[in-house]
Amino acid sequence: MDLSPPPLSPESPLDHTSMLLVGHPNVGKSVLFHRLTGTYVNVSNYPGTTVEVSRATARFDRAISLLDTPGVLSLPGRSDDERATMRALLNEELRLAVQVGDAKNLRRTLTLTAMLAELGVPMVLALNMSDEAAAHGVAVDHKALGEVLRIPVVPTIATGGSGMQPLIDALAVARAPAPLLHYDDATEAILRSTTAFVEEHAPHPRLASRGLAILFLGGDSEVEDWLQARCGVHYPELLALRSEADGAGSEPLAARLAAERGRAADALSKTVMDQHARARRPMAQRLGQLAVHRLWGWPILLAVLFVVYELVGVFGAETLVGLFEEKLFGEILNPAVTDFFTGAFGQGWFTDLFVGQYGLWTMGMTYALALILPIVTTFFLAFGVLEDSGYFSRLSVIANRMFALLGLNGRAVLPMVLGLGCVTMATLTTRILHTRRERLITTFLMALAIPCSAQLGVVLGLLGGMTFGGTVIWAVTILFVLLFTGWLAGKLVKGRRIPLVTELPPMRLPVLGNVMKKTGGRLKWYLIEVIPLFLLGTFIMFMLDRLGVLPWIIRAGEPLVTGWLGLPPEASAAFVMGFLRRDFGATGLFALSGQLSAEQAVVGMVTLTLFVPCIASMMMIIKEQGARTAALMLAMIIPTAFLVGGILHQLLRIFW
Amino acid sequence: MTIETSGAAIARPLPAAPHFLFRWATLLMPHTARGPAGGHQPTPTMSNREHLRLIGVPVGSRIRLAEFDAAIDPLQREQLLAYGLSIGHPLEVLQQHPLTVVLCDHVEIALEHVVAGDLWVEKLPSRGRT
Ligand SMILES: Nc1nc2c(ncn2[C@@H]2O[C@H](COP(=O)(O)OP(=O)(O)O)[C@@H](O)[C@H]2O)c(=O)[nH]1
Repeated sequence: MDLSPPPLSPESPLDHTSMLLVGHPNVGKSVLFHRLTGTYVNVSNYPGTTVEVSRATARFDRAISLLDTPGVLSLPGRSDDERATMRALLNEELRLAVQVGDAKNLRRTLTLTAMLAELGVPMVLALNMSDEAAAHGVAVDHKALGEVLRIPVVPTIATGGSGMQPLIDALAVARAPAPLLHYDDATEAILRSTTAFVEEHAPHPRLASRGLAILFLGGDSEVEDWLQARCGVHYPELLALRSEADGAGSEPLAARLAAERGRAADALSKTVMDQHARARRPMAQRLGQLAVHRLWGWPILLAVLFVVYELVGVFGAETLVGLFEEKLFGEILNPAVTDFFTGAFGQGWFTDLFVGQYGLWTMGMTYALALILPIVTTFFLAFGVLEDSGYFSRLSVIANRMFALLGLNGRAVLPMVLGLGCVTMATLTTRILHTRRERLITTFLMALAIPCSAQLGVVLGLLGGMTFGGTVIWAVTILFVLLFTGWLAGKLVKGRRIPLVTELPPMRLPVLGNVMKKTGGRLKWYLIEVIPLFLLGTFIMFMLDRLGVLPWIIRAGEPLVTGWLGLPPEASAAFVMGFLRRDFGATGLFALSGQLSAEQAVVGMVTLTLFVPCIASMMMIIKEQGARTAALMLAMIIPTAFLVGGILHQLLRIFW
Repeated sequence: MTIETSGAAIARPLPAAPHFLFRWATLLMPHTARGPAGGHQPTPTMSNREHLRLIGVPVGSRIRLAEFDAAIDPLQREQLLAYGLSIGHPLEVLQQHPLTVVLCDHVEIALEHVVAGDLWVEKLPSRGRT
């Protein structure tokens, strides 16, 4: 999607300039965003990044496009989210910014304000969550703060809608805040020469050179890239300036710059903020602490998982899927579409392409809309509720120890849990992980050993009905493979493990409207990003089948399947089906269940679970990690699946 | 998708084995006024109270961040600063297991033990009830 603003038309000189919402994570930016915009919200990757941003037309001024940037912890940016925000500041046709800050944490809010002030961004400061601040005994003199900063400062409660009109009114008088940062003489000197250099070789049309210089000296990679592109041959001189300054002080330059931001924010917040003593800890805080308690955390986790399972696994995957897949698609839509195609085009490859065994409609769309859509819808709902409630970051704290074994940190629990819903979706969400290494390991483990809900349903339903002991063996084997390969991957993949440091936002009652809007945005994104992959995957299978490659693979696989795994030859076809739809593979295997012993069923299911992820998630892996990495993963996953299956077969023959 | 976006990409070097073991062995030992790396002068604003590693401080204590260990990764330090953990700032220890959790300006921040082990703090007198 092209997000660059359209050319200015003469009648409205400010046609589609943008207004940015910036702020720390969890300060209420998205709630505020939804308050300030209409219903039509566009969720997409910010150009050139893998970070999701929301964009919409402002409700109060149709000519303004509002952009909700991802949360920034600090600038200069270090994470993908921060880089995306910096990119937006650099590239948007920026008219003004609204910094959304947490009123109960003014010091941190002002650290960011100090940086925005140096960039000369015209802005308004919304001190959000003023209700929570009051509950914590924090009183901010927003008038005094506004006078010092020389910008409008508006207290708001985004969830309750209070302060919205004053905020909108204040936008008209937005301006660049008065600078807050005063460095020591040596740092000021280097800053002056860097600023002069930027001014001469790479002035920015909207941002102040001094701010860019601070960010560059602090090592912001987006600003580095931007300056490098503009400075051309002069860029090495700029680099030389920085390394000279870096060597000069006792501390690294970036640390000195950061310390001054902290000092300035600390000093200012002390003068305008009053902290009343508070008799007791708010209820939410105590609840939040229970959720990460070394003992109580576990029963709470089980209860949460149970509710999520009831919603997604039972209501979504059984009730809704039953309604959609069997009734709506199976009995009404698919027969009608098939009739239409055979009526209009007769029998033949063209009809087959749409409604045949590997038909774009009967297979691809049915899968995406009737099976996966209900599951991801319920999943996103549950996800949104947990996200808004503040539980997720607590979950990552609880899971941290286990993920440390895998060379990851607790943050990876989110994609993994999502993987139990749909691995294709979950592969997309590995973007929330901060390093490439974490994304790679998590994606690999999900492709190998996380069964998606469609497959899980069939495995538990059918294997569970056949042999309880076998189900346990299946679960233990898969868990073992997950932990073992994870441990191995943690050792083998280059790079270091990153310890978990995370903010635990207060536990809150989720706001229904906010959850619905987020779910809606994500569903739209699912439909746009994932459905094409399902269709492409189906098309590839159709072609392979037409060209006779599928039957050939099935025949070629037979010796391996019969000799090494001890399964009937027909099981070979089930594995190939499993590539198309994970649950189809499992169902295919069970179509043979009359011929299978309990041991064969377990071996077949274990191998199938580990065997290649479905073709849609394969396409997603290619999209996220590149074709080479995806091929490498496949080359590891297929032998691992057969190896584990074969060993299990030998073991079970002896011991079971 | 913006699921949980707090936190920056911080790569922290794993210390070489002997140093690493040494650091763990000294984790609970109190130090006075200077970190184990030596040579670091205490900041003038600091009192002469004992410096403890955050990881060894009992739950419920009110503390003040005294200094970062010399071994801490610069990016890690920057991230902690961004969370508001600056030198001299008062904190309250809420939890030590499974992770260290401190309250900093009404915001709870969870730190893995390896990180908490790199923070030197000093205890403040406990706040009287109001
Ligand atoms: N009490 C209170 N909660 C709020 C307020 N604004 C947002 N929230 C809640 O804070 C959480 C984070 O909000 P969100 O908009 O997702 O934060 P973002 O990460 O900045 O986009 C959600 O649970 C919101 O319901 C507010 O003004 N008061």
